[in-house]
Parts: sequence; C-alpha cells; structure tokens
Amino acid sequence: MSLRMPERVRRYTTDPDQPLRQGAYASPLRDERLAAILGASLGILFSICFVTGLYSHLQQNPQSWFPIPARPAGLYRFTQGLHIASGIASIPVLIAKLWLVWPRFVAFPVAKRVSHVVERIGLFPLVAGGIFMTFSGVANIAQWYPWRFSFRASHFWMAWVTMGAIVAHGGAKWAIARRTLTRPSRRPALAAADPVLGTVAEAAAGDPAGGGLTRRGLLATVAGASGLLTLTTVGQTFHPLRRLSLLAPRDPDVGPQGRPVNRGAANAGVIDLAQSPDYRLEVTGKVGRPLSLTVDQLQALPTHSAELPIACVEGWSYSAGWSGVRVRDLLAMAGADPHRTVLVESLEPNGAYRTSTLNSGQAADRDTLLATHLDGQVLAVDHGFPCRLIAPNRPGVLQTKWVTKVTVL
Amino acid sequence: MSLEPGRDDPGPAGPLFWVSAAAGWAVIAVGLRGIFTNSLDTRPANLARFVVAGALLHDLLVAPVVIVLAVALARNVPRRARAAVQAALAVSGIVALFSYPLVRAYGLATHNPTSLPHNYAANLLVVLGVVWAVAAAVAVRQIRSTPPVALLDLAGGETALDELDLLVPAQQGGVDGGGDADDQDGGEHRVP
Repeated sequence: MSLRMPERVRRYTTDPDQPLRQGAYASPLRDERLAAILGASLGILFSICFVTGLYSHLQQNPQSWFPIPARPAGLYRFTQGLHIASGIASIPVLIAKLWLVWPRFVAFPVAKRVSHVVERIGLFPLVAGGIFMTFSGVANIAQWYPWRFSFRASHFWMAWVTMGAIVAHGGAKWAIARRTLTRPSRRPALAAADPVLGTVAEAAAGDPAGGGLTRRGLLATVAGASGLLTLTTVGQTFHPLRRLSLLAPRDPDVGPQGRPVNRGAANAGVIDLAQSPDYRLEVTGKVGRPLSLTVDQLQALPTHSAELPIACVEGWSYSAGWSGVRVRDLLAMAGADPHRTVLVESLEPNGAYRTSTLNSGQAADRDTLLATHLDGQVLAVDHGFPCRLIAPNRPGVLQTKWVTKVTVL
Repeated sequence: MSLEPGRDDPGPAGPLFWVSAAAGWAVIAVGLRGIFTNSLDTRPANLARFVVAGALLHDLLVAPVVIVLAVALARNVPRRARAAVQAALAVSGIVALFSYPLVRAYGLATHNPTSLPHNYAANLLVVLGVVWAVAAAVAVRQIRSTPPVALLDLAGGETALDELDLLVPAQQGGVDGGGDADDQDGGEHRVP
C-alpha cells in the first residue's frame, strides 16, 4: 500500500504474471518476449486479413490490370473464409497485446528523442486502427450498423491506415523482437537458481511460481480463446464444423431450400416482379439476334449442372448443385462473340449490387450459369427466381439474383 | 521493467526504423487520402468518432476495469485455482465481447430470415459453460497434483511456497511473506 498509484498500476499491468510471485524469478526480457510473440502473431493475422481483403476489394472493384481468373472455382470462398476467420482469431491476440503494453500509453517521459516521438505518434493509428478493424468487422458479420459510414469503404481505407502503422511499428520493434524471439531465454528455472528449493517447489506444485497464470499459461489462454472463437464460428464456411458453430452469424444449412441468403426477395423489392407473367430475360448489346425469353422458354433451354460455392463477403459459404443455361451458350444463341465482357442486371430497382460484370474469362467459363435450379429444385424467389448468375471464384454479392438483362459489351 | 522506455532503452533508431517509418506512413497516407477522397462513403467525421472512441474505450474503460478485476481475483481466489480462473475469465470476457452484437440481435433489423439463426444468448451460455468446466477440471488437477498438506495450506492463500520464498533472498530481493496482493509487488523490483 505504500507504493504510489502509478507505480502500482505499472507493476500490475506491465507484468503478465501479476499479481503473482513469479516476478521473483523472471528474466528481464520476458515481457518483451511475450509482447514480441503476440505482436508477431498479430502482424501475421492482420497481414492475412489485408491481403485477402485486398483480393476481395479487387473482386468487387475490377481493375483492368488484374483480371479476376475464373479458376480455381473455390478460391474466393477460401480467401474470404480465411479473411473472416483470421480477423476473428486476431481478437484475443489484440486484446492480450493491448493489455500487455497498455502501461506504455501512460509512460513518462513521453519521449526522449525524435525517433521516440515518431514511434509514439504511430501508436495511435496502430491501436485505434486495430481496434476499429476488428470491431467494424465483427459488427458487420453480425449485420450491426451503429455508424453512418459505408462499412466497405471505411473498412477498406482504414485497413491501409492500420497496415501502414503495422509496417512502421514492425520496423521500430524488429531488432528487439528478433533478439527476444531468437534467443532460447526463459526465466531461469527455480531449480537452476537453487537446486534444493527448486526441486521441492516444482515437485510440490508442478509450477514453481505458484498460483496464477504463467507467461506460457497466458499464451495458452490467448491461443485457447482464438481457437474457441474459431471453432464456434468457422462452421459457417467449413461445413464439417457446422454443428460447433454456436456463435456463427449464419448456418450454411438454414434458409429457403436449406441455404442462407444475404438479401431476400422482400428486402430487394422484387417479389412481384420476379413472379410476374411479364418477366423476360433479355440478351442485348453486341449480339447478332437479341433474345427475349419467358420463364418457360428459359427453363426449356439446354441446361448444364455445376457444383459451385456461394461465398459471402461476410465469411459464410456453402457449396451447392446449380443447373441452368450456360452464359456462353446464351451468348452463342444470341450470335455474340463468346469472349466479351458481359453486364448482368437484376430486377432489383436499386441497391449497390443490382448489376455485376463478368470478364471475358468468366463469361466463357464452362460453369458460368444463369441458374434456374438449386439442388434439383426450381430456385426459390429468395435465391433469385427466375434465374440467377452463378460463376466460379466470385463473391456472393456478385452472383446477381433475379437476372432480367444480359448485355454483351 | 523491460516494456518501458527506461535508462537502458536506447529506443528505436537506425536505418530500418526510419525506412519502415517512411514506408508505413506512406501507406497510412494512402489510407487517409482514400478516406477523404471517398468522403461520401467514408463520412470522415463519423468514421473518426468511431476510430477515436474505440481507442479511448479500451484505454480508459476496458483496460482499467480488467486491472481492477485482476487485483480482486488475486486477492480472493486461492492460489492454486488462480491460473484456471484467470484464464477462464479472460476467455469468457473475450467470447462475450465477440457475441455481444449477436446476443443483442441487431442483425434482425435487416429482416433477413437467414441472419442470426441461433439463440445466441443460450449458445453463449453453453460455450461459457464449457470454458468453466474445462477451467474447473484444470484447477482440480492442479490441486490434486499438489504436495502433502504439510507443505501447502489448502485453506488460505498463504502456502508453504511463500515460506520457501523467504528463504531465497537472492532471487526474491527481500522478505515479503504473507498472502495478500500487496506482497505480490515483491520480486524483481526490489532487486537493488
């Protein structure tokens, strides 16, 4: 009780084993080592999120210098599942890391030299960015929008801010992290310090330090928390673990026809339009013979079946059997060049995803379909009746539903 | 304490520091530029509020609360159950934090019948139940693997190990037996 408050705060917070007695046997580097392990893990997880997020961004904002390949068919499903899983797994690591270094935010003197100032300023985008990225990601997969900005744009641009801060921080900590991670140092075991007492104590408790979490215990706790969050959510994209996904925002087996959707027909305002006798599928643009097909004509076209995943940007996915007319067959029927870019439009009156574009490779792929059937049944209206686009290696939001117009560009 | 900039900490320096600082801030600038050139979507004022609030919420609320909890735990939980309780509390807090928007079911506002298909409050309780069951098993194992009663006082926080500590002045840096949390402040700080 005789200690001044800042001193007490410092000791309770900088020492991962507090309030324990293990500090007595500590290596002076042990905190750095733990911070380095957590920091490196976080750097890896955030980098995975950044790269997979960039890929998702390029999928949704096609660039001429990066034509999205049609194959492998499950690539986006994998990368986006990994994006969400890595983000979720990073939460305990981030929290533990923040807890470990928190006293540094109240450390005085604030800085002693220019490089310190630069480093400490960089901590704000690092910490605030890390918290924002995980918070906004978790809120988004739970479809919770307490903000007014666009999630997609803000999450994307803040990812650059956060990643830049990670690069700067990595450079500042590289030497110290390397030093602490490469040396085998641990705190000297009690047995080494005093063979007699050490042997007695270790035999006694199995833990010479006594009751609380050891450094290794803290790492195990963080790994356990990451593992638990992963186990209870990853079944939304990794089907074998579906029964364990108690905390997943989606179940890949729950929804119309046993499949989830991100935007139902009611939300899209297309229930009447999709079921109207006036519905037509039009094929226009650079075609020899424009087509205008009724639902019956559409369903009478030669069909092709394919097993393809729907992979939502929010991290859930499922693979299903789709059948319908191949886009390339439709283009051939309309007398169009099969190697052109194709614009697909929905009946949806508005919405960010009422249209999508197939690049020439995607449009020509053997499995790119305007599907009329899902797992052998006529599409439910929530799944895009009368027909929906389904193509390999695409985000679900680009698998346009309630397709009414195909324009060859 | 090694995590604090101190006398023996020269701080970051050298070409690697400055090169990565320059590269990092260039990438940060890309992000900031994107935020401001897409301000119709990113709404910088609203975004800034959430970014700053997240950091402040952690630094001024979450971190201090965790510290207070940790101190309370150290004072009230018997020593050999402490590790398991600490771990279980940390995992529970993290899982609860993650589950918060699911339990509150904010996503139902989107009127998508396939969103949030579970009873997340019940599922959270199941997950926490598993966490605490594992923690209890670990604690029991820890207690069973402990030495004869002669060495350890099972009832109190004070154990024979505390007495052993008294005998190791070279490492302990001082005499500080006793079971309350204050004595936990001993250790390397007292090394002259």
